[in-house]
Amino acid sequence: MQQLWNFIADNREQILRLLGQHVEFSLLSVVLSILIAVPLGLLCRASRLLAQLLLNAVSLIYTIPTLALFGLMIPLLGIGWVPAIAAIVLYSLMPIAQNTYTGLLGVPSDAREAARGMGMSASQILFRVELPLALPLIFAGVRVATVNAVGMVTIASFIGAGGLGDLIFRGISTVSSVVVITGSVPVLVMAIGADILLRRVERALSYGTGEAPEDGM
Amino acid sequence: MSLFDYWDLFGSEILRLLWRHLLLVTFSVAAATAVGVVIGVAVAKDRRFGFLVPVANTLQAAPELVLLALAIPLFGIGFKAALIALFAKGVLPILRNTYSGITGVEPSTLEAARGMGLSGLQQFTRIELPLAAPAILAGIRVAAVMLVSVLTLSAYIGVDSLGTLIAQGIARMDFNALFTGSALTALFAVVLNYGLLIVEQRLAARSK
Repeated sequence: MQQLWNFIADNREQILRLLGQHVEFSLLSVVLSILIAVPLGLLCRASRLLAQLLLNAVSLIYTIPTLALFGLMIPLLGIGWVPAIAAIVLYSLMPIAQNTYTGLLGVPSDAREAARGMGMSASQILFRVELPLALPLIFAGVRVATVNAVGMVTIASFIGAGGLGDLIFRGISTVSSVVVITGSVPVLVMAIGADILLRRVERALSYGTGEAPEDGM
Repeated sequence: MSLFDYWDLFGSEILRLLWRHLLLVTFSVAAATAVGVVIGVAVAKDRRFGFLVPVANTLQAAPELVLLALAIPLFGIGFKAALIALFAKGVLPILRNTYSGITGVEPSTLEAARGMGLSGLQQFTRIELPLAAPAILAGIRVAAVMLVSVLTLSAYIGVDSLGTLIAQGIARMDFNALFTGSALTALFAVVLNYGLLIVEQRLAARSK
């Protein structure tokens, strides 16, 4: 225990830097994922065939093991944080796009009907009625993507992206429990903390839409 | 060296790693299924175990690599630590789906079964378990696909699998190894997912 405190005290700056990187990469990839995946989910409404194609494609990507996905990124984008974030965004498409599509599909047709009756345009219906009603489910996808991202950033250290994974791998290769624990515990706390916090937000969002979000994935 | 030369040269090693990957995934999925189903049923049947559901949900968020890393101080580097991490990550989805499958059986269905004179055990084996089977299988599928992925990571703590090729590929910038390892694991996961999905759909169609 004493060793652990000493290590943390001696390497405080480096640990904080890696922690900062970790948070930064996770947030960046989640934001990018939302920006790409929500429109994809909307696009799926254009036709049944398109929905099938897109959703199958993203779930195929979701099936690919993390390390393999990072590995396949190297010939395309080299090493560093760019291929890492690209891989994480690809991986996050499934939960967010799928949940956006499912959420919009679940909007009761009376709500749409009523909005049209009130004279709303198509875009008004989308932004004021459909998206707010689908929000809890979309948010559930964002939660899954966020928790995944925190974990994947750790692995991204393999391809030279930095983050707390650096400590974990250094700890493993030098067989030092102290270093492993210093790297792992903050990641664990972040992942579980994000999960608990975002579940709360989800519950708050679904209050009033009359629909409890599914506890899926 | 071209990719084909690489395969020619290291074919038997690649096959050995593929076989090991298959074996380790099979064993850990089997162990996780046995434990996950038993605990899932216990939680569904006895309220005293109810606290395990939020615990399982929370643990699910723990990143694989972190579980693997934290297993090292406890179990040392190597096989044991890898298996513990694989097992822990695999049990959770199976436990959760077993629980929701069993509790999702309509009370009226059970009422009818009771009316037909089925005993408690008969209700369980003939009604509840078959109706929950598609959900349980879905949990096993999710766990299996996840374990294919977790296993690749355990290459870094000295357990041979297809992940070894990826790790070597990254360390030596050897694209042949990197591509072979990545493509095979990806293919493995995708095939496993679709295979189990088909079984799942058959089962679901039958229990309707």
